[in-house]
Amino acid sequence: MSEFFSMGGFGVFIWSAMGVAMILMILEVFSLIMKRRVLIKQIKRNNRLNQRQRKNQA
Amino acid sequence: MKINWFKYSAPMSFYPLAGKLIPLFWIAAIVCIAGGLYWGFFKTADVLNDQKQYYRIIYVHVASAWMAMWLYAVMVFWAMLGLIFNTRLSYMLASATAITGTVMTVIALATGAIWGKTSWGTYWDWDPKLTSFLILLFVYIGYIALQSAIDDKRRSDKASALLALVGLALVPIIYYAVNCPDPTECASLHQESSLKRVESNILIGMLVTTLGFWMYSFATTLMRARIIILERERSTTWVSKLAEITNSERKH
Amino acid sequence: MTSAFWIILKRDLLLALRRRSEIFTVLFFFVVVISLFPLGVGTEEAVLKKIAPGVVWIAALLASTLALDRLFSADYEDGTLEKIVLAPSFLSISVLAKILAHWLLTGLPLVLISPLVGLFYHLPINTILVMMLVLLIGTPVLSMLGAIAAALTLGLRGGGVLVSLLVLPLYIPVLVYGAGAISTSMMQGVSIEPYILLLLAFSLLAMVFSPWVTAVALKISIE
Repeated sequence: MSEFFSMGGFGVFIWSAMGVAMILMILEVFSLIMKRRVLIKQIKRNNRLNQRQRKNQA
Repeated sequence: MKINWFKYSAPMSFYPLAGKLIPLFWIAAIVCIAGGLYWGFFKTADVLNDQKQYYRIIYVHVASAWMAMWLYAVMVFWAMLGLIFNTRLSYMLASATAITGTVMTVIALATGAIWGKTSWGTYWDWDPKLTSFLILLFVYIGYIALQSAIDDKRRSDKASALLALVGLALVPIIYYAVNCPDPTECASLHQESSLKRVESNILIGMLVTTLGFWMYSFATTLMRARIIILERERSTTWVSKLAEITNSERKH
Repeated sequence: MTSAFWIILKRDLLLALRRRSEIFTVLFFFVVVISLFPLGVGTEEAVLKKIAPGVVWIAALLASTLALDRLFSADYEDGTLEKIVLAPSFLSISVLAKILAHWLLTGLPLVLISPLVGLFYHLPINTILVMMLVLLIGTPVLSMLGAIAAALTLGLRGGGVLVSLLVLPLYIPVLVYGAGAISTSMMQGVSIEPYILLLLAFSLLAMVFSPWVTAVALKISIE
């Protein structure tokens, strides 16, 4: 098992290459999910405010 | 069955379609990346003996490098479509593609540097391929910077689309200059494609991983396009009627 | 059609001659950058000879990007640019006139002062001549490509830095072959002709396409 992970001494390089790629991709997806959540919250708040304003006017 | 493609060029009908497609692309991406890496790591033991183990970096490196270049072409395609037909959705897709392209370029550079350390003994070499990718990164960053500097969306869409086209026109010249700083030495820039020499099991691993990265790019681009649509159309009635907007989760 | 070209060229040159200090600012920036390098790298003659081609070109790239800010912005602020864009004559011809005027005011002075670099960096006479020649062919390309970026970033906050970010990567071919020609001219028995021909080709291509693309960019920015 440890032989598999060390990969003839190149393990550090191979796993760090895989790690860099995975971390960057996961970060991208994570930032997208967060952005969407924040945006949806903002739109909801705006809509509520608009509704309240309309009620007050009516 | 006939599908009316133009129907989906309106953000309103594209938004739910993209929402349905995203999970499919995620499944395809995870299956392909896992399968490609599995093939590359476990089916190549006879080819990759101890001195060549570092070849395993190539799956992620080649996949991200191909996607970095391909996504630039995709971005220019959408930008051009936007400039010709003046469809808002094309511009949105162009800008959604740019950031995934940038991420792919960074991955390609980082894994390329690690690859360089194992095979040439140095992280950075001013080798034509690495240098070209550095410049590709600069071009992507310029595109994104121009887009975010312009507040007026119509102008920002068109200006960045034009910049992407100018970049595409100049990329071959820049590539030539980086490859041949001495024009007398390489009058013909004709290299034999290195793909032919790759062993078939490695090639399968590479291609399947690339397919996975492609699916990943589809998924993230669509996710980002949906965010851009929501941002720009936030005050329209169709957005306020969306399920994710109308359900109120205020339980406390 | 051609009259619009001459009118704009004459006007821009006259305006610039009234504010001569602007021309000298770019010129002195070029000289200052060039004279800082020996202080940072060391004053050994062999080292200076080796870095001179790259230093001259990088200083020229930076000077020309800094000057780009002024290409359209003054006309944009006082509304002249809108008149030019809406005028019945071909916009690309007017743009070409503006770029040419800009080059005469910021590019040509660099070419003329470049022998000073030769002096600072111990370059032989024929290398200095080659340097002037390649700057003469190459700096118009910088103005042409820069005009596109200047038009795209018209009137933006922090436009100056943005222009450099957009345009510097696009200058790479000129940098590579411009500096290559100067280094080659210091070697014995190697012809610099291929470099000159490539630079000429870039120059011609830029002259054909850039005014047109810049005109499109101006329309996008102004509408």
